[in-house]
Amino acid sequence: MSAVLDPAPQQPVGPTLLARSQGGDRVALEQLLARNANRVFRWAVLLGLSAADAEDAAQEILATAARRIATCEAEAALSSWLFQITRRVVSNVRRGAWFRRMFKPKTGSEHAAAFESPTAADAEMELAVRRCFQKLNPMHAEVLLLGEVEGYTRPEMARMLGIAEGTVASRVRLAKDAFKKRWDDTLAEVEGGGA
Amino acid sequence: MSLPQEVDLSKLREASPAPAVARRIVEGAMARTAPRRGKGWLIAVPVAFAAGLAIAVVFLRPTPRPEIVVIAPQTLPLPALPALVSGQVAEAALGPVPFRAGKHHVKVAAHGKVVATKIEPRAVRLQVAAGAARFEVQPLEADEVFAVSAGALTFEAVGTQFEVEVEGDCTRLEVQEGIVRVSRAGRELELVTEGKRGTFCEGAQVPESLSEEDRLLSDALDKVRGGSDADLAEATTILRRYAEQYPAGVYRQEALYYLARLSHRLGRADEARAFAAKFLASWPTGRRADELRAIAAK
Repeated sequence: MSAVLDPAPQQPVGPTLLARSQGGDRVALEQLLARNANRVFRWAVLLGLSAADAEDAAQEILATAARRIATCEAEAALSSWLFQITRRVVSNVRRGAWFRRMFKPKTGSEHAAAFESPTAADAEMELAVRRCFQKLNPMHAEVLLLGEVEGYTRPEMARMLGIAEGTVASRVRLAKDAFKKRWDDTLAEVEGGGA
Repeated sequence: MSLPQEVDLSKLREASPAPAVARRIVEGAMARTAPRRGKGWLIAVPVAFAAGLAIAVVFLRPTPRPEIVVIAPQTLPLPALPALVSGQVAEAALGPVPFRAGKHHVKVAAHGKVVATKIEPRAVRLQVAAGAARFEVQPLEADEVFAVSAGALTFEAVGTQFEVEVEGDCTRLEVQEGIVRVSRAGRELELVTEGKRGTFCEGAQVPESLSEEDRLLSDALDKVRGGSDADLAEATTILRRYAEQYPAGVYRQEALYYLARLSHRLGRADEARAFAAKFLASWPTGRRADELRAIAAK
């Protein structure tokens, strides 16, 4: 099993930055959070949150990470560690979102684009993909996010999710199957003029 | 099964929010972790306590749910694990959660649920009700039982590590160490050994009975469980027969391990050393190797 959990992070974090953050250097901490803000926001969105909820969640994830930065012992484990926090926070926000929906009318903002998209087609694709992710079982959304979007290997995913590699493989297969079904449903909805 | 051709999820790897949003996220996070001064906690603590009490009264459940603790990967060892008691449900919503079931360790994977059917000093019976769980079984004494059920299947361990996952009508078993006996409604279906996995589905065709090779090992393990000196001697005889009949059998590791342990237990030190040496020649590392090395040194 590979010990490298962050093979090609979007913006690599130097050990000095992590060490300085752990030593109480708030400038270094802010840089560390800034380097990971895009990533945790993307995770929150693809784990089913609206753009607004994902922003709140990303803030909470980074605040939690900052408070517990001393418990992140290795630079290589940073991604995995952040992902654990993300799962917990996203789950909490999702529960809170359900509660808010009980008392607040829908505004339509829950379907607003979350990412900066260079073209309208990209934005449409993003919304369609997100709609599919939202309808997936969270276990399936997680493996698609880590494997297909972020490009982690199965051993790395197994480590991050705390499951066996064989389980990752079967979960990925089921997730792809489920995603394809949701995708077909989404296309049918769009073609039929549905929501 | 692959994703639809028009969907390339890897394109989202660079997806990011608008710069203003990213800035707000970081600033907000930093503001929330700013060092605090003053005595706001004098008000906050009683308010939080009262709120917590109210929530506990409203949402109190008969089956306590474990708190999810975020730990940095690779920062084990874990502190003392929470111990399951009979009737308790171990559930992990967001990440893997470790528990103790008697002297054994259970790690419930995210979204998994394990019911402690019976936790007694000499018998642990668990049920995987949903998702996956990994079990690390400590060496069992002769009359000890460690069994995990999933649907109609029962997985019985003899000093082993294994994982059970329930997915729809199927139950998947993966054995990391040792051997697991699988049975349905009291009938033995299969012995699954180290490094092997098996998927058992409702309604699927299963072997009618164990093979002769399976049967020999299963009988030997039953005798080991019997525990008396006569049982252990009988187990040794069966295992020797197994080793002769199946010199390259799938249970060779298991047979040598038990032959060494049983010989030691029966006071046959030379035999114990010889079996341990054979075992160590093929499997020099791992918990069992350490155990046998200790036996051989005595």
